[in-house]
Amino acid sequence: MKATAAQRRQRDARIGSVVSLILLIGAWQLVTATGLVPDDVLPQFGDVAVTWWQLLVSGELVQQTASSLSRQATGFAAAVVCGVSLGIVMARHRMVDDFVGPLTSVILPIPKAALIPLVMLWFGIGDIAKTIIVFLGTILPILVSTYHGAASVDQVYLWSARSMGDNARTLLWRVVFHAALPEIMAGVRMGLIISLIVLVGAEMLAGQGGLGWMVFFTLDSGAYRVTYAAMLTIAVIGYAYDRLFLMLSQRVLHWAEQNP
Amino acid sequence: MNVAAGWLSAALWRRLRRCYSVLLMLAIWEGAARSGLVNPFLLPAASDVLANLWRMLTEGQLLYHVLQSLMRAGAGLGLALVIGIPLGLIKARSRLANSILDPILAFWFPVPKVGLIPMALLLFGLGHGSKIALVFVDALLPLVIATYQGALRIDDRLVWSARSMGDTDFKILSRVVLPGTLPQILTGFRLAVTVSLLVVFLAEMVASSSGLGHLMIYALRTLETKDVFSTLIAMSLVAFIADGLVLVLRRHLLVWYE
Repeated sequence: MKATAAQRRQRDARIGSVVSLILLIGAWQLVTATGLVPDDVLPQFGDVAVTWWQLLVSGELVQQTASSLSRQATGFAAAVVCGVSLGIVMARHRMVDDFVGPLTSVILPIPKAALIPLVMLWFGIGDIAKTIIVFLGTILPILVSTYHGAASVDQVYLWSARSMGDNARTLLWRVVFHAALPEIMAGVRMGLIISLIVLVGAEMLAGQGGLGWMVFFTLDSGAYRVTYAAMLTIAVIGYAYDRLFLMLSQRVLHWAEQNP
Repeated sequence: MNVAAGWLSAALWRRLRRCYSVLLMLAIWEGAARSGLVNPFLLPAASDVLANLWRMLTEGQLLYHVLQSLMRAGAGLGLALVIGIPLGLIKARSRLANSILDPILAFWFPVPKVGLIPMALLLFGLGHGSKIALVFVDALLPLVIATYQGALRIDDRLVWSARSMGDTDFKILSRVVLPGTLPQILTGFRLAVTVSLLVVFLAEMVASSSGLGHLMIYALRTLETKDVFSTLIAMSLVAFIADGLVLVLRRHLLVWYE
Protein backbone atom coordinates (compact mmCIF):
# COMPACT_ATOMS: atom_id res chain seq x y z
CA MET A 1 0.00 0.00 0.00
CA LYS A 2 1.39 3.35 -0.98
CA ALA A 3 1.44 6.19 1.47
CA THR A 4 -0.46 9.30 0.49
CA ALA A 5 1.34 12.60 0.11
CA ALA A 6 -0.03 13.84 3.41
CA GLN A 7 1.11 10.72 5.25
CA ARG A 8 4.52 11.03 3.69
CA ARG A 9 4.79 14.65 4.75
CA GLN A 10 3.79 13.72 8.28
CA ARG A 11 6.39 10.96 8.35
CA ASP A 12 9.05 13.36 7.04
CA ALA A 13 8.17 15.84 9.74
CA ARG A 14 8.41 13.19 12.44
CA ILE A 15 11.80 11.99 11.20
CA GLY A 16 12.95 15.60 10.92
CA SER A 17 12.00 16.38 14.50
CA VAL A 18 13.80 13.32 15.88
CA VAL A 19 16.90 14.08 13.80
CA SER A 20 17.05 17.72 14.82
CA LEU A 21 16.53 16.84 18.49
CA ILE A 22 19.41 14.35 18.32
CA LEU A 23 21.56 16.92 16.50
CA LEU A 24 20.90 19.57 19.15
CA ILE A 25 21.59 17.33 22.12
CA GLY A 26 24.61 15.86 20.32
CA ALA A 27 26.04 19.33 19.65
CA TRP A 28 25.45 20.31 23.28
CA GLN A 29 27.18 17.17 24.57
CA LEU A 30 30.02 17.58 22.08
CA VAL A 31 30.98 21.16 22.91
CA THR A 32 30.80 20.49 26.64
CA ALA A 33 32.47 17.07 26.76
CA THR A 34 35.42 18.29 24.70
CA GLY A 35 35.82 21.28 26.99
CA LEU A 36 35.16 23.76 24.19
CA VAL A 37 32.64 25.45 26.48
CA PRO A 38 33.65 25.32 30.16
CA ASP A 39 31.51 23.38 32.60
CA ASP A 40 30.60 26.45 34.66
CA VAL A 41 29.04 28.12 31.62
CA LEU A 42 27.24 25.17 30.07
CA PRO A 43 27.22 21.86 31.99
CA GLN A 44 27.12 18.61 30.06
CA PHE A 45 23.70 17.52 28.89
CA GLY A 46 24.00 14.19 30.72
CA ASP A 47 24.69 15.94 34.02
CA VAL A 48 21.76 18.29 33.56
CA ALA A 49 19.48 15.37 32.74
CA VAL A 50 20.57 13.55 35.91
CA THR A 51 20.02 16.69 38.01
CA TRP A 52 16.62 17.13 36.41
CA TRP A 53 15.64 13.60 37.36
CA GLN A 54 16.87 14.07 40.94
CA LEU A 55 14.88 17.29 41.28
CA LEU A 56 11.82 15.57 39.89
CA VAL A 57 12.09 12.64 42.29
CA SER A 58 12.73 14.87 45.31
CA GLY A 59 9.54 16.80 44.52
CA GLU A 60 11.33 20.16 44.38
CA LEU A 61 10.71 20.60 40.68
CA VAL A 62 7.06 19.59 40.95
CA GLN A 63 6.51 22.06 43.75
CA GLN A 64 8.06 25.02 41.90
CA THR A 65 6.28 24.10 38.67
CA ALA A 66 2.97 23.89 40.50
CA SER A 67 3.46 27.28 42.07
CA SER A 68 4.35 28.85 38.70
CA LEU A 69 1.49 27.20 36.88
CA SER A 70 -1.14 28.07 39.47
CA ARG A 71 -0.19 31.77 39.22
CA GLN A 72 -0.18 31.59 35.46
CA ALA A 73 -3.44 29.66 35.21
CA THR A 74 -5.38 31.97 37.54
CA GLY A 75 -4.25 35.18 35.86
CA PHE A 76 -4.59 33.78 32.40
CA ALA A 77 -8.06 32.32 32.93
CA ALA A 78 -9.28 35.61 34.37
CA ALA A 79 -7.79 37.46 31.38
CA VAL A 80 -9.51 35.13 28.91
CA VAL A 81 -12.91 35.52 30.57
CA CYS A 82 -12.65 39.31 30.95
CA GLY A 83 -10.91 39.93 27.61
CA VAL A 84 -13.32 37.87 25.54
CA SER A 85 -16.50 39.20 27.13
CA LEU A 86 -15.33 42.80 27.09
CA GLY A 87 -14.16 42.44 23.47
CA ILE A 88 -17.52 41.10 22.32
CA VAL A 89 -19.50 43.73 24.20
CA MET A 90 -17.20 46.43 22.80
CA ALA A 91 -17.74 45.26 19.25
CA ARG A 92 -21.53 45.27 19.61
CA HIS A 93 -22.11 48.36 21.73
CA ARG A 94 -20.87 51.69 20.49
CA MET A 95 -20.95 53.33 23.91
CA VAL A 96 -18.67 50.72 25.44
CA ASP A 97 -16.41 50.93 22.41
CA ASP A 98 -16.16 54.70 22.72
CA PHE A 99 -15.13 54.35 26.33
CA VAL A 100 -12.80 51.33 26.29
CA GLY A 101 -11.40 51.64 22.75
CA PRO A 102 -9.32 54.80 23.21
CA LEU A 103 -8.06 53.58 26.59
CA THR A 104 -6.95 50.34 24.96
CA SER A 105 -4.99 52.12 22.27
CA VAL A 106 -3.23 54.25 24.89
CA ILE A 107 -2.31 51.25 27.05
CA LEU A 108 -1.46 48.82 24.22
CA PRO A 109 2.01 50.20 23.36
CA ILE A 110 3.25 49.91 26.97
CA PRO A 111 5.89 47.15 26.93
CA LYS A 112 4.48 44.37 29.10
CA ALA A 113 7.72 44.16 31.10
CA ALA A 114 7.08 47.64 32.48
CA LEU A 115 4.03 46.30 34.33
CA ILE A 116 6.16 44.15 36.63
CA PRO A 117 7.74 46.93 38.75
CA LEU A 118 4.45 48.81 38.82
CA VAL A 119 2.49 45.83 40.14
CA MET A 120 5.29 45.07 42.60
CA LEU A 121 4.92 48.61 43.91
CA TRP A 122 1.17 48.27 44.39
CA PHE A 123 0.70 44.63 45.33
CA GLY A 124 4.05 43.48 46.66
CA ILE A 125 5.84 40.33 45.61
CA GLY A 126 3.47 37.53 46.54
CA ASP A 127 1.23 35.22 44.54
CA ILE A 128 -1.45 37.86 44.07
CA ALA A 129 0.99 40.32 42.50
CA LYS A 130 2.22 37.73 40.00
CA THR A 131 -1.29 36.66 39.12
CA ILE A 132 -2.19 40.30 38.49
CA ILE A 133 0.89 40.74 36.29
CA VAL A 134 -0.15 37.76 34.18
CA PHE A 135 -3.71 39.08 34.01
CA LEU A 136 -2.68 42.59 32.93
CA GLY A 137 -0.08 41.32 30.48
CA THR A 138 -2.45 39.01 28.65
CA ILE A 139 -5.83 40.70 28.70
CA LEU A 140 -5.08 43.27 25.98
CA PRO A 141 -4.02 40.93 23.14
CA ILE A 142 -7.08 38.78 23.89
CA LEU A 143 -9.37 41.80 24.09
CA VAL A 144 -8.10 43.33 20.85
CA SER A 145 -8.34 40.19 18.75
CA THR A 146 -11.77 39.34 20.16
CA TYR A 147 -12.90 42.84 19.28
CA HIS A 148 -11.65 42.52 15.70
CA GLY A 149 -13.24 39.10 15.35
CA ALA A 150 -16.58 40.18 16.77
CA ALA A 151 -16.67 43.46 14.86
CA SER A 152 -16.24 41.71 11.52
CA VAL A 153 -19.05 39.18 11.99
CA ASP A 154 -21.11 38.91 8.84
CA GLN A 155 -24.29 40.97 9.22
CA VAL A 156 -26.25 38.27 7.41
CA TYR A 157 -25.70 35.88 10.34
CA LEU A 158 -27.07 38.46 12.74
CA TRP A 159 -30.09 39.20 10.61
CA SER A 160 -30.97 35.57 10.14
CA ALA A 161 -30.51 34.76 13.82
CA ARG A 162 -32.70 37.70 14.75
CA SER A 163 -35.35 36.80 12.23
CA MET A 164 -35.45 33.34 13.76
CA GLY A 165 -36.28 34.92 17.09
CA ASP A 166 -32.97 35.05 18.95
CA ASN A 167 -32.90 37.72 21.60
CA ALA A 168 -29.92 39.98 22.18
CA ARG A 169 -28.22 37.78 24.73
CA THR A 170 -28.43 34.48 22.87
CA LEU A 171 -27.40 36.38 19.74
CA LEU A 172 -24.17 37.49 21.38
CA TRP A 173 -23.37 34.06 22.70
CA ARG A 174 -24.59 31.81 19.89
CA VAL A 175 -23.70 33.89 16.86
CA VAL A 176 -21.13 36.58 17.63
CA PHE A 177 -19.00 34.50 19.99
CA HIS A 178 -18.86 31.52 17.69
CA ALA A 179 -18.22 33.53 14.55
CA ALA A 180 -15.38 35.36 16.29
CA LEU A 181 -13.87 32.18 17.69
CA PRO A 182 -11.01 31.79 15.18
CA GLU A 183 -9.69 35.26 16.00
CA ILE A 184 -10.37 34.79 19.70
CA MET A 185 -8.25 31.65 19.66
CA ALA A 186 -5.42 33.47 17.86
CA GLY A 187 -5.47 36.16 20.55
CA VAL A 188 -5.61 33.59 23.32
CA ARG A 189 -2.55 31.83 21.90
CA MET A 190 -0.66 35.12 21.82
CA GLY A 191 -1.79 35.76 25.40
CA LEU A 192 -0.62 32.31 26.44
CA ILE A 193 2.89 32.95 25.16
CA ILE A 194 3.04 36.39 26.78
CA SER A 195 1.70 35.01 30.07
CA LEU A 196 4.69 32.71 30.45
CA ILE A 197 7.13 35.48 29.53
CA VAL A 198 5.84 37.97 32.10
CA LEU A 199 5.42 35.27 34.73
CA VAL A 200 9.01 34.05 34.43
CA GLY A 201 10.22 37.67 34.39
CA ALA A 202 8.19 38.51 37.49
CA GLU A 203 9.45 35.45 39.34
CA MET A 204 13.02 36.37 38.51
CA LEU A 205 12.53 39.89 39.84
CA ALA A 206 10.31 39.21 42.84
CA GLY A 207 11.41 35.74 43.91
CA GLN A 208 9.05 33.85 46.26
CA GLY A 209 9.28 30.51 44.48
CA GLY A 210 8.36 29.32 41.02
CA LEU A 211 10.49 28.22 38.09
CA GLY A 212 11.69 31.73 37.25
CA TRP A 213 12.91 32.11 40.81
CA MET A 214 14.56 28.70 40.69
CA VAL A 215 16.42 29.55 37.51
CA PHE A 216 17.66 32.86 38.75
CA PHE A 217 18.53 32.16 42.36
CA THR A 218 20.46 28.99 41.66
CA LEU A 219 22.57 31.15 39.36
CA ASP A 220 23.73 33.16 42.36
CA SER A 221 24.72 30.08 44.32
CA GLY A 222 26.56 28.60 41.34
CA ALA A 223 24.35 25.50 41.07
CA TYR A 224 24.38 25.75 37.31
CA ARG A 225 23.04 22.25 36.73
CA VAL A 226 19.90 23.16 38.62
CA THR A 227 19.72 26.39 36.62
CA TYR A 228 19.79 24.51 33.36
CA ALA A 229 17.41 21.83 34.59
CA ALA A 230 14.88 24.51 35.54
CA MET A 231 15.42 26.35 32.23
CA LEU A 232 14.73 23.14 30.33
CA THR A 233 11.56 22.66 32.37
CA ILE A 234 10.38 26.15 31.43
CA ALA A 235 11.06 25.44 27.77
CA VAL A 236 9.20 22.12 27.87
CA ILE A 237 6.23 23.69 29.66
CA GLY A 238 6.04 26.45 27.05
CA TYR A 239 6.12 23.92 24.24
CA ALA A 240 3.67 21.48 25.81
CA TYR A 241 1.24 24.26 26.66
CA ASP A 242 1.28 25.52 23.08
CA ARG A 243 0.78 22.00 21.66
CA LEU A 244 -2.11 21.44 24.03
CA PHE A 245 -3.64 24.71 22.98
CA LEU A 246 -3.27 23.93 19.27
CA MET A 247 -4.97 20.58 19.81
CA LEU A 248 -7.82 22.24 21.66
CA SER A 249 -8.17 24.92 19.04
CA GLN A 250 -8.27 22.38 16.21
CA ARG A 251 -11.04 20.59 18.02
CA VAL A 252 -13.02 23.75 18.68
CA LEU A 253 -12.45 25.19 15.24
CA HIS A 254 -12.84 22.06 13.13
CA TRP A 255 -15.60 23.83 11.21
CA ALA A 256 -13.48 26.89 10.35
CA GLU A 257 -11.06 27.01 7.46
CA GLN A 258 -7.63 26.15 8.73
CA ASN A 259 -4.86 28.58 8.01
CA PRO A 260 -1.80 26.91 6.53
CA MET B 1 -23.35 79.33 8.32
CA ASN B 2 -25.66 77.19 10.36
CA VAL B 3 -24.70 74.13 8.38
CA ALA B 4 -21.03 74.89 8.88
CA ALA B 5 -21.52 75.32 12.60
CA GLY B 6 -23.48 72.09 12.74
CA TRP B 7 -20.77 70.25 10.86
CA LEU B 8 -18.10 71.72 13.08
CA SER B 9 -19.84 70.66 16.25
CA ALA B 10 -20.45 67.19 14.79
CA ALA B 11 -16.75 66.83 14.01
CA LEU B 12 -15.87 68.11 17.47
CA TRP B 13 -18.32 65.72 19.04
CA ARG B 14 -16.83 62.82 17.10
CA ARG B 15 -13.35 63.73 18.29
CA LEU B 16 -14.49 64.16 21.85
CA ARG B 17 -16.32 60.85 21.87
CA ARG B 18 -13.12 59.06 20.91
CA CYS B 19 -10.97 60.57 23.62
CA TYR B 20 -13.17 61.56 26.53
CA SER B 21 -12.46 58.33 28.43
CA VAL B 22 -8.72 58.93 28.31
CA LEU B 23 -9.16 62.52 29.51
CA LEU B 24 -11.54 61.32 32.22
CA MET B 25 -9.05 58.74 33.45
CA LEU B 26 -6.27 61.31 33.48
CA ALA B 27 -8.48 63.67 35.48
CA ILE B 28 -9.38 60.92 37.96
CA TRP B 29 -5.71 59.97 38.30
CA GLU B 30 -4.72 63.59 38.90
CA GLY B 31 -7.62 64.26 41.24
CA ALA B 32 -7.13 61.11 43.30
CA ALA B 33 -3.45 61.87 43.83
CA ARG B 34 -3.90 65.59 44.51
CA SER B 35 -6.78 65.18 46.95
CA GLY B 36 -4.84 62.61 48.94
CA LEU B 37 -7.52 59.98 48.27
CA VAL B 38 -4.73 57.63 47.30
CA ASN B 39 -1.24 57.80 48.70
CA PRO B 40 0.77 59.96 46.29
CA PHE B 41 3.73 57.73 47.08
CA LEU B 42 1.93 54.83 45.43
CA LEU B 43 0.34 56.91 42.69
CA PRO B 44 1.99 60.28 42.05
CA ALA B 45 -0.16 62.83 40.23
CA ALA B 46 -0.05 62.68 36.44
CA SER B 47 1.30 66.21 36.17
CA ASP B 48 4.08 65.43 38.65
CA VAL B 49 5.03 62.34 36.67
CA LEU B 50 5.25 64.35 33.46
CA ALA B 51 7.24 67.14 35.11
CA ASN B 52 9.52 64.51 36.58
CA LEU B 53 9.98 62.95 33.15
CA TRP B 54 11.04 66.32 31.81
CA ARG B 55 13.43 66.76 34.73
CA MET B 56 14.96 63.32 34.11
CA LEU B 57 15.36 64.19 30.47
CA THR B 58 17.01 67.56 30.97
CA GLU B 59 18.92 67.09 34.23
CA GLY B 60 19.15 63.34 34.62
CA GLN B 61 20.55 60.69 32.37
CA LEU B 62 17.34 59.50 30.79
CA LEU B 63 18.64 59.98 27.28
CA TYR B 64 21.75 57.93 28.04
CA HIS B 65 19.63 55.02 29.28
CA VAL B 66 17.25 55.27 26.33
CA LEU B 67 20.22 55.07 23.97
CA GLN B 68 21.69 52.09 25.83
CA SER B 69 18.40 50.20 25.51
CA LEU B 70 17.99 51.19 21.89
CA MET B 71 21.53 50.16 21.02
CA ARG B 72 21.08 46.70 22.53
CA ALA B 73 17.68 46.18 20.94
CA GLY B 74 18.98 47.50 17.62
CA ALA B 75 22.07 45.28 17.59
CA GLY B 76 20.07 42.15 18.41
CA LEU B 77 17.42 43.06 15.86
CA GLY B 78 20.05 43.74 13.18
CA LEU B 79 21.65 40.35 13.78
CA ALA B 80 18.24 38.70 13.63
CA LEU B 81 17.54 40.42 10.29
CA VAL B 82 20.87 39.40 8.80
CA ILE B 83 20.46 35.77 9.83
CA GLY B 84 16.68 35.38 9.92
CA ILE B 85 15.84 36.50 6.40
CA PRO B 86 18.32 34.20 4.61
CA LEU B 87 17.25 31.36 6.91
CA GLY B 88 13.62 31.91 5.96
CA LEU B 89 14.47 31.99 2.25
CA ILE B 90 16.51 28.79 2.49
CA LYS B 91 13.74 27.11 4.44
CA ALA B 92 11.27 28.00 1.70
CA ARG B 93 13.50 26.76 -1.12
CA SER B 94 15.00 23.57 0.29
CA ARG B 95 12.99 20.57 1.49
CA LEU B 96 15.91 19.27 3.53
CA ALA B 97 16.46 22.54 5.36
CA ASN B 98 12.74 22.76 5.97
CA SER B 99 12.47 19.31 7.52
CA ILE B 100 15.37 20.08 9.87
CA LEU B 101 14.38 23.63 10.77
CA ASP B 102 10.65 23.06 11.15
CA PRO B 103 10.74 21.03 14.37
CA ILE B 104 13.31 23.38 15.88
CA LEU B 105 11.11 26.38 15.14
CA ALA B 106 7.96 24.62 16.32
CA PHE B 107 9.67 23.85 19.60
CA TRP B 108 11.36 27.21 19.95
CA PHE B 109 8.42 29.44 19.11
CA PRO B 110 6.28 29.08 22.25
CA VAL B 111 9.21 28.75 24.66
CA PRO B 112 9.41 31.77 26.97
CA LYS B 113 12.91 32.79 26.04
CA VAL B 114 13.32 35.10 29.03
CA GLY B 115 13.91 31.86 30.92
CA LEU B 116 17.27 31.86 29.15
CA ILE B 117 18.42 35.08 30.83
CA PRO B 118 20.74 33.15 33.20
CA MET B 119 22.29 31.27 30.30
CA ALA B 120 22.86 34.51 28.41
CA LEU B 121 24.47 35.99 31.53
CA LEU B 122 26.78 32.99 31.92
CA LEU B 123 27.76 33.00 28.27
CA PHE B 124 28.00 36.72 27.55
CA GLY B 125 28.35 38.46 30.88
CA LEU B 126 26.42 41.30 32.47
CA GLY B 127 27.09 43.88 29.76
CA HIS B 128 25.69 44.43 26.30
CA GLY B 129 26.40 40.90 25.05
CA SER B 130 23.77 39.08 27.07
CA LYS B 131 21.01 41.52 26.14
CA ILE B 132 21.91 41.49 22.47
CA ALA B 133 21.89 37.68 22.48
CA LEU B 134 18.48 37.57 24.16
CA VAL B 135 16.99 40.08 21.73
CA PHE B 136 18.48 38.10 18.88
CA VAL B 137 16.92 34.75 19.87
CA ASP B 138 13.57 36.41 20.46
CA ALA B 139 13.48 38.51 17.29
CA LEU B 140 14.81 35.75 15.05
CA LEU B 141 11.70 33.57 15.02
CA PRO B 142 9.09 36.06 13.80
CA LEU B 143 11.49 37.05 11.00
CA VAL B 144 12.26 33.50 9.87
CA ILE B 145 8.61 32.48 9.93
CA ALA B 146 7.41 35.61 8.11
CA THR B 147 10.12 35.36 5.44
CA TYR B 148 9.36 31.69 4.94
CA GLN B 149 5.64 32.26 4.52
CA GLY B 150 6.23 35.17 2.18
CA ALA B 151 8.72 33.30 0.02
CA LEU B 152 6.34 30.36 -0.31
CA ARG B 153 3.76 32.64 -1.88
CA ILE B 154 5.98 33.88 -4.68
CA ASP B 155 4.62 32.99 -8.07
CA ASP B 156 6.94 30.41 -9.66
CA ARG B 157 6.33 32.00 -13.06
CA LEU B 158 8.11 35.17 -11.92
CA VAL B 159 11.20 33.12 -11.09
CA TRP B 160 10.98 31.21 -14.37
CA SER B 161 10.69 34.31 -16.49
CA ALA B 162 13.58 35.97 -14.71
CA ARG B 163 15.66 32.87 -15.31
CA SER B 164 14.65 32.63 -18.95
CA MET B 165 15.82 36.20 -19.39
CA GLY B 166 19.21 35.14 -18.15
CA ASP B 167 19.23 36.36 -14.55
CA THR B 168 21.70 34.67 -12.25
CA ASP B 169 20.51 32.97 -9.09
CA PHE B 170 21.74 35.83 -6.94
CA LYS B 171 19.94 38.34 -9.11
CA ILE B 172 16.74 36.36 -8.96
CA LEU B 173 17.01 36.27 -5.20
CA SER B 174 17.69 39.97 -4.81
CA ARG B 175 15.45 41.31 -7.58
CA VAL B 176 12.52 38.90 -7.57
CA VAL B 177 12.24 36.83 -4.42
CA LEU B 178 13.27 39.39 -1.84
CA PRO B 179 11.01 42.24 -3.07
CA GLY B 180 8.14 39.78 -3.44
CA THR B 181 8.60 38.67 0.15
CA LEU B 182 8.95 42.17 1.54
CA PRO B 183 5.36 42.64 2.73
CA GLN B 184 5.53 39.53 4.93
CA ILE B 185 9.05 40.34 6.09
CA LEU B 186 7.88 43.74 7.26
CA THR B 187 4.95 42.21 9.13
CA GLY B 188 7.41 39.92 10.90
CA PHE B 189 9.74 42.85 11.46
CA ARG B 190 7.01 44.81 13.21
CA LEU B 191 6.41 41.97 15.65
CA ALA B 192 10.17 41.55 16.08
CA VAL B 193 10.57 45.23 17.02
CA THR B 194 7.86 45.00 19.69
CA VAL B 195 9.34 41.79 21.08
CA SER B 196 12.90 43.20 21.08
CA LEU B 197 11.92 46.14 23.24
CA LEU B 198 9.97 43.94 25.63
CA VAL B 199 12.93 41.58 26.00
CA VAL B 200 15.58 44.26 26.32
CA PHE B 201 13.64 46.05 29.07
CA LEU B 202 13.00 42.82 30.93
CA ALA B 203 16.62 41.68 30.68
CA GLU B 204 17.79 45.08 31.89
CA MET B 205 15.49 44.83 34.89
CA VAL B 206 16.88 41.45 35.86
CA ALA B 207 20.57 42.22 35.45
CA SER B 208 22.06 45.42 34.14
CA SER B 209 23.58 48.67 35.25
CA SER B 210 22.12 50.79 32.47
CA GLY B 211 19.15 51.07 30.16
CA LEU B 212 15.50 51.93 30.82
CA GLY B 213 14.77 48.57 32.45
CA HIS B 214 17.57 49.13 34.94
CA LEU B 215 16.37 52.67 35.56
CA MET B 216 12.89 51.44 36.39
CA ILE B 217 13.86 48.61 38.73
CA TYR B 218 16.44 50.87 40.40
CA ALA B 219 13.76 53.48 40.98
CA LEU B 220 11.53 50.82 42.52
CA ARG B 221 14.28 49.51 44.81
CA THR B 222 15.19 53.02 45.99
CA LEU B 223 11.48 53.83 46.33
CA GLU B 224 11.63 56.78 43.95
CA THR B 225 8.12 56.02 42.81
CA LYS B 226 7.83 59.08 40.61
CA ASP B 227 10.78 57.80 38.61
CA VAL B 228 9.06 54.42 38.20
CA PHE B 229 6.10 56.11 36.55
CA SER B 230 8.18 58.49 34.46
CA THR B 231 10.31 55.60 33.18
CA LEU B 232 7.17 53.68 32.33
CA ILE B 233 6.01 56.59 30.20
CA ALA B 234 9.46 56.86 28.59
CA MET B 235 9.38 53.12 27.75
CA SER B 236 5.91 53.39 26.26
CA LEU B 237 6.93 56.39 24.17
CA VAL B 238 9.99 54.57 22.86
CA ALA B 239 7.86 51.54 21.95
CA PHE B 240 5.16 53.72 20.40
CA ILE B 241 7.61 55.71 18.29
CA ALA B 242 9.49 52.59 17.18
CA ASP B 243 6.24 51.00 16.04
CA GLY B 244 5.25 54.19 14.24
CA LEU B 245 8.58 54.28 12.42
CA VAL B 246 8.10 50.69 11.26
CA LEU B 247 4.71 51.64 9.85
CA VAL B 248 6.20 54.65 8.05
CA LEU B 249 8.95 52.45 6.64
CA ARG B 250 6.34 49.96 5.51
CA ARG B 251 4.32 52.60 3.67
CA HIS B 252 7.53 53.85 2.07
CA LEU B 253 8.80 50.49 0.89
CA LEU B 254 5.47 49.09 -0.14
CA VAL B 255 4.02 51.85 -2.26
CA TRP B 256 3.37 49.24 -4.94
CA TYR B 257 1.60 46.89 -2.56
CA GLU B 258 -1.94 47.01 -1.13
